Amino acid sequence: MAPRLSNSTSGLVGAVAPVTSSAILLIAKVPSKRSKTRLCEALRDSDRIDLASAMLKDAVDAVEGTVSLRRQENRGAVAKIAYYSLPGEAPLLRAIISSVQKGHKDSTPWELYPIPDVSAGLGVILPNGVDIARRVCGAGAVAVIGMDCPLLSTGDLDSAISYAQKGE
Amino acid sequence: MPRRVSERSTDGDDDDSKNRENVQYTNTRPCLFVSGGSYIQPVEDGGYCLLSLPHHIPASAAFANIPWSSSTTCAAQIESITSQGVVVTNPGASRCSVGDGSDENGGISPHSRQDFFDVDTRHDLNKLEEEVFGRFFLGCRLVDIFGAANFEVVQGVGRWTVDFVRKRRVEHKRWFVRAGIAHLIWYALARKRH
Repeated sequence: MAPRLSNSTSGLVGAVAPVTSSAILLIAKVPSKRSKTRLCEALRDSDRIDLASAMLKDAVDAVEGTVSLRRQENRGAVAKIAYYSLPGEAPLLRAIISSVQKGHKDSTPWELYPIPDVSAGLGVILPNGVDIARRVCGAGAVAVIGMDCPLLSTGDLDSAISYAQKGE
Repeated sequence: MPRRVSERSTDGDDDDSKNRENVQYTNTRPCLFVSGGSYIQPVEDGGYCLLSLPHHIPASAAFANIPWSSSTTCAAQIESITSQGVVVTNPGASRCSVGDGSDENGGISPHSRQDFFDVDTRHDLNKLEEEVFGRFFLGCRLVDIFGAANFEVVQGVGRWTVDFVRKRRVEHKRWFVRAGIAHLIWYALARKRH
């Protein structure tokens, strides 16, 4: 399969995306005052932003760990895609991802794609994200994760990809 | 997480009592495990936080007609994928099934947990704190009276989130100490006045 050109609007514009057999799609809400609004009563605005950032970092960390693990064990490349809300907030997202990547050796770049219409609902957002992973990154198996569950580990993500690849 | 999967009994045993157990069990977690296919990690509120799809499932079909943000989201997602002819693996169910010998290799990640939850509400946040630092009792976390956290749990939770929880706990302790000091001052002043 020939390398494909990433058409990311805010991430790796013009960069050649690696050919991958699988991808991890992170549905990332960029931390803002609108994050975790159901915790308004329990947390100040700044705390809610901190919590959202912490959970996003943990999700990114789990992805980085999975990709690194699979690379070390020669189980194929995995594309990392952040499908993010709040277009225009890519620099913040990129900064968060970079801060996590510092703890991982030989980390590969992420592909960042803004969600065109957040109000469309998950029934539209998720298929679009998976399509991006397949079309642009050439991924077969795609694992989709959110950023609200800090208990999700590298092992879980690795299992998810392995199962989906077995199904191919 | 409501489920209606009694027909998906894990061991194929027709015994009533065993089926009842399975129904009870599947009322909390779906029991579908076979190797290959899709993988889903349910969370407590009925949703899910991880889903993998093999290449042959069209994304549009996989996510069609899912009642999002409801207590049946995960169940509907599993049904949607199985209707595409793909088996769905749920690590929580598989882990449970290891003991009854219905899944030879376990089929699960050793890191998997059965009690995943999103952190969306005050209840979730308190639960996360309890998981990490134990129960709150007279201003102290029982597990954490001397500053030690519940390491087994901490290892399973992302470190940034643990840091956030730890920071919040310190703030709680400070607040508790300040409130105690203010109370002592008020008490001393009141005694002096009388």
